Amino acid sequence: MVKLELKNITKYYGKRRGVENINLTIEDGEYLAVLGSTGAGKTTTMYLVAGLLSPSEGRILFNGEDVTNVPSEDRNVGFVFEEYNLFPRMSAESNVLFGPIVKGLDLSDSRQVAREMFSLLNITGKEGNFPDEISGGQKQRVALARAIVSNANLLVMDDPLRALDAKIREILQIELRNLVKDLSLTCIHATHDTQEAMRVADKIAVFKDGAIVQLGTPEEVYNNPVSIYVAKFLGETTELKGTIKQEKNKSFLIVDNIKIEIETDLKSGTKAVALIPAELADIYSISEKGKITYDNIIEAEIISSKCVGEFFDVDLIAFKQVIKAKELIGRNVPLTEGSKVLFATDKGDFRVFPFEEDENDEKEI
Amino acid sequence: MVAGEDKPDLEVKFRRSLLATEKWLSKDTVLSAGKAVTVGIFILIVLGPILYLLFQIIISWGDINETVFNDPILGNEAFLSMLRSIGLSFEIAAIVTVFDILVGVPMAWILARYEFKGKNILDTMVDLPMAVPTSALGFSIYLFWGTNNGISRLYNSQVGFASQGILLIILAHVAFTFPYVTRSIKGIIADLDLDLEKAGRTLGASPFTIAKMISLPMVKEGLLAGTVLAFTRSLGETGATLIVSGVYQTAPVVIVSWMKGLKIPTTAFLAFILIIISLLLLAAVRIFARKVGLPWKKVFPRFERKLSSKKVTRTRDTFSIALFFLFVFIPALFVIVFLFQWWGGSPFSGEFEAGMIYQVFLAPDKKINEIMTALVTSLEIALIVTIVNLLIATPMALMISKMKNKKVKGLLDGLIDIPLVIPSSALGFSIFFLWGSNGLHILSPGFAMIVIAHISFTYSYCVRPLIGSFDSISTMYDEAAAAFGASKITAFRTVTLPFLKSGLIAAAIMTFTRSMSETGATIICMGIERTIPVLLVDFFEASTFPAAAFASTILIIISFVMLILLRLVTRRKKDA
Repeated sequence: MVKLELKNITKYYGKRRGVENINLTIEDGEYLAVLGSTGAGKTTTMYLVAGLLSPSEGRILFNGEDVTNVPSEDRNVGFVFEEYNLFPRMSAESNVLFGPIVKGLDLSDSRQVAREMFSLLNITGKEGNFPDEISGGQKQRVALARAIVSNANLLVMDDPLRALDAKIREILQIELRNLVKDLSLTCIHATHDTQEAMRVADKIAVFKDGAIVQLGTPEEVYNNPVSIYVAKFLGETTELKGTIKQEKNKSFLIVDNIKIEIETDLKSGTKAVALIPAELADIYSISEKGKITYDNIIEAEIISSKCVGEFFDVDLIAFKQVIKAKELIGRNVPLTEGSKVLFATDKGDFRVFPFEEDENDEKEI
Repeated sequence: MVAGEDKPDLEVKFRRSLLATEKWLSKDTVLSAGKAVTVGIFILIVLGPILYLLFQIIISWGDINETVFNDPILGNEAFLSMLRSIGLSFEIAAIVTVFDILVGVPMAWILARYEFKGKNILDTMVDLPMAVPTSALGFSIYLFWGTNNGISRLYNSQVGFASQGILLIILAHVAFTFPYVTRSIKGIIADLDLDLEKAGRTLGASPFTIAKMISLPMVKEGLLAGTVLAFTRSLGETGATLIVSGVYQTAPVVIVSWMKGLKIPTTAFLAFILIIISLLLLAAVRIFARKVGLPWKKVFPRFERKLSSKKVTRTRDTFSIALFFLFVFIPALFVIVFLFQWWGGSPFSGEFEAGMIYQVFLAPDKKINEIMTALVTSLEIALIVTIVNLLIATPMALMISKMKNKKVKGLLDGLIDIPLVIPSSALGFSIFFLWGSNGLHILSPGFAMIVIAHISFTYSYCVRPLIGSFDSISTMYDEAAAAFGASKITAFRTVTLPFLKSGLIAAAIMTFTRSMSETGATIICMGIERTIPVLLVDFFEASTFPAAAFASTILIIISFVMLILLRLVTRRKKDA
């Protein structure tokens, strides 16, 4: 129902930068995730969209109409806060009906919508409860219902699932996406969690230090991260440093005289970094030698492995350095310490970037 | 060597015996005895006099019936004038409270939410009238509104803007009750979760609607408490009222004047009625505070949006601040201006004998001696009252804070507030009644009786903040100390007490200030002693205004210093 555009949006808090020069278009009915670490400018962006902050520069358009100076209460934005922000002295139902009441909407209609929302979100029966009487997950469901019932056509969520525990979070991620799609809402959802962004969104905007560093579908962002920062942010990786060698239409990274086949346009002789995501680093038992087809197969030694639920976190030595891998549980691979295995990767598994000294700063994310 | 070994030995011995004493004190039986004593003192000083008054009224009902309802000459005139005075007191208290709320709530909002230069100064200014003795305040307000020295100079009038009477009483009461409303909600507003308001805005509510529907319900209880305090303070005030009332008599003033005329049975009956009314108010508030909903639930989006506009809010803020200065701050401190006007002589005739210097220092009656004696008496009383109160209030506060039985806790908590709401003249009278010749006959009016009366009505001022302090100290530390083998009293001394320091100081300053400024109870219990607020009333009645202004200014300065100290202490507490 709403197409949202941010044009050259900049926000400074005094001298501190909130966001700088943000350009973003969210099509009608599109679900955008804003992904970034603490301080990346996520909350600022959400508040700007909702009108809780006004930008230092730039314009915000809803359906092409400039709303930059429209106060929050007139924007018709449904906002879901990280800490729920349910009104403590009101029942769940009163919370949900707050919007319709203060907007002077027809309450009998709104009650009907509220009832539907309660049942859609599996919280029927909690209408009369006060916020301190229900669980975190239920609170956030009520907050979600509250944001939607007041006729919002744009849903803005500021890390809405952060305070919930992992299991509820996963359930709600799916519920959220289904709900937004069923109601064909336009939605912008900030999160610090890569998995969450991937699960819920049509498109992901990766934020860093108040600017957008990459915008694309989850697949695009995952497969082609634009920088070492993004690649590292997406998950656990191991860094291999070496020199590029182009040879017979094939690209290689030379690490300690070992050739690793990769995909890159970088010229021969360029110093480069290749990142291998832990989940793409595959391990096979030595006996599989010759039976598997990979671009790079090398013998490696396991130095530690730890079961963390559905998979093992494995550290192994290959290319003369420690490499992190994730192995699904239940495969027939000896993961005991000291055992020899095959370490297998395809050329497309590596995310390759030219090596720059200052990139080292970005290790802490 | 030998001496060197002796010394630690002595210290160890001392520590061991201290610990042993504390261990003995921590025995359950001793602790229970201590609790009993704590409650006993409370009953003797606060509840006892009131209960005794009730008891006496019942057993000497015949006497009262005769003097109040069936006097051979006056008939039921005494009862009628009681009703008149109580009616007047209620009217005044109601008007005053409405003003306090209308101006005090926006003021609290300004102080809690806005950041501006001089905010701290404004904050202190708002609190000041509460710390200044009401007789000084009343005198200052009388000078400002009621004489040709004050506001009427602006339009060159020979008479004051308002003569002594109801309007002047209202103006005086507004000044010293105003801070109660602002103070009681300022902190709550500052602590409100701003994110809730953000949530309200995204849902389409204008700032006024948010304040009404989200913030107000959270401030409700504080507002109610402040309102009750302002109302009962107005209802029970004596000092300022004596000065500004003229021929009109509010109920506490009637108590004082009947007491002076030694009409004991009628005074007893009136004091009793006032106490009952105040207690009913207190009980009603404590029982219904949580249950009462807000009167208006309906939302008028358009209208409320208009009320939220910048223009309206700015006008409202300007008005509140202007009204505060015009009706509270300037009149309250006008006496200082007056003092300088009359410093060396009359500003009208230039006559030296009419001036402050002559009247206070040079005239044959040497008022400065009287003032100094009264000041010393006041300081002595305030000091004794503060020390005694800290000693008896700390165990009470600890007991209430730690109490597990919710019903008993609620009851005690409510009883604690009694001295806060009943008119101090009525409380003073019941103390006179119990301890004096009509009761136990231990004391006659004088220094000791003033001390007891002051301990009684400052009791709540001491216990209340201490309960707050104890509540904020986690029991975790106590438990940790117990795990290391400390007895309960040792744990209290070593672990809890250090946390309590600023709370204790704050309570002490409150108690001291309140004792320094009391008039009503003092007049009833004083005999031939004079405290400085009472002396001020005497000076006023003798029409020696410059001397009264001198005494007032001293009082204002003392309260100002106390207030600054209080702010420093409580601020440090916040930082910690």
